[in-house]
Amino acid sequence: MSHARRRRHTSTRRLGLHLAPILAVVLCWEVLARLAILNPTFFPPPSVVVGVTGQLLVEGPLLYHTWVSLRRILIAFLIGATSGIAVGLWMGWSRPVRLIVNPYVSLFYPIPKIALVPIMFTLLGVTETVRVLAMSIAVFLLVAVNTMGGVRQIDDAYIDAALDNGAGTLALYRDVLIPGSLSEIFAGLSLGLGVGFNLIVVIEMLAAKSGLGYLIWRSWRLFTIQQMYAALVMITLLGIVFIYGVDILGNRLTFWEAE
Amino acid sequence: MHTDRRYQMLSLVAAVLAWQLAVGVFGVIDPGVLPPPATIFERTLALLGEQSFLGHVSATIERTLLASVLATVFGVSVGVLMGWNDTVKALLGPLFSAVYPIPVIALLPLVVLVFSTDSNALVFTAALGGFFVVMWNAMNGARQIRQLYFDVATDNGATSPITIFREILLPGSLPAIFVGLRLAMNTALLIVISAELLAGGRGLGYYLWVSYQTYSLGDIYATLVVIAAIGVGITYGLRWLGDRLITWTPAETERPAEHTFR
Repeated sequence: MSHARRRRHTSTRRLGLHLAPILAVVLCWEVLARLAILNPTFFPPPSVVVGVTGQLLVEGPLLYHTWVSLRRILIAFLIGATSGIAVGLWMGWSRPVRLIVNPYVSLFYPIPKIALVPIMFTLLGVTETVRVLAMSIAVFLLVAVNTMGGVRQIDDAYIDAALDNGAGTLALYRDVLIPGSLSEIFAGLSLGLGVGFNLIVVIEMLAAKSGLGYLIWRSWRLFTIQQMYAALVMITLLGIVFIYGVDILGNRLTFWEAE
Repeated sequence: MHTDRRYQMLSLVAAVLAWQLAVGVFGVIDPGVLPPPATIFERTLALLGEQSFLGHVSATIERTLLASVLATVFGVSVGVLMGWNDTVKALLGPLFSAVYPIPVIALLPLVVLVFSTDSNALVFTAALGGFFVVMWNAMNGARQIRQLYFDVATDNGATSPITIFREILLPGSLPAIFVGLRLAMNTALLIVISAELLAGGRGLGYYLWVSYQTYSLGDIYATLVVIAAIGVGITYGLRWLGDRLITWTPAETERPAEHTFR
């Protein structure tokens, strides 16, 4: 009982230590902006940003644009992640598949994905499908490359042991290949999210009439800086949820690698 | 391994050949939508012969390099410091973790407002994106250096922080830093191209967007080829360079992991 309490005590303490530097910076910003040492037009005080964000969420278009971006990110991420994991596992396991598919993945992987967007718009039209597809391609490539690397570094002894014990293809994937490459898969998911978020924002800025990227761009054009900050707050919140959500899930699933 | 590479080349060559035949010879696909590879190649060569296009190429490369240098200098110094000193890490770590999930390109309009010139804002935004990648990798590189090396160094009279940084921290974290550098240059290139698409005035991203808006299909493909070549050059060139330069890591340690945060 006292043990549990002490553990809870230290984790609260750790959270406090983690939040302290962030709160300190926010406080400095607030004071400097109030004293007009920081230009409050460009750097409105955090309290004002929070107020405007809340107000725009309730009365303004912020909730709608957040929902549109969230939907795009969610669909693109799911498509890219599942296809990337599937192809990556297959490429890692089967040599013929690797020989045929890997050259294309290796060729497209280092291309800045945004450069593919104009050609996709030209060929397929400026549609919602293309916007989502662009982000899912980025996620797919990063996840596929990392997953393949993960499968290939699995010790052959595990695979041999499974095969000698009569594991079928399904059992091999389920019990050896997937668990063995899980931490690389999650590294790929995290890299893919980083690139994918940038991509969806650029696409919304360039060629969309909805979404947080569009809202940021329009706010800039209209010089409504506070609205731009509100959109930035929402895209940051989405980023935190996705990036740290995937990170936490990865740590839970690869619990055997915890130090 | 060598036969593997040969098969992989074969796979690529077969596809290019099939594409050329399908469009150029049999006309299965409309060349007005997807030109055959030979035509794209010709157009790329022709563009690379034009002085004005080379100006766009050099603008993009210059911006990417400048952003990468800034990201590396700040990323390595801050990252190594954080990996070495726990207090610095406790202070800066939470701040960086909180800011990291912001897609940097979303900050571009704000940065443009503050810097007032597009070109500097563009480089700063790209550098910011690269900074995080270099920093996390340098920090993790410095953290996994064994205490033994520090002890040996101090016992042998290396007491000044500069000597310790130069003799242990830097060479010890260099493999990780190289991974960070490669990711940072790729990030910088992505942000530079994106920013040029949005507000370049100059550069390959700008040229790509103008070609798209004027529906010059040949130019879109040719520019994409040049951008892809830069990306491929960065990724595989730096990997090659890293393998040549860093000869002191023991053979049994594998390539350092790619860290995006923490």
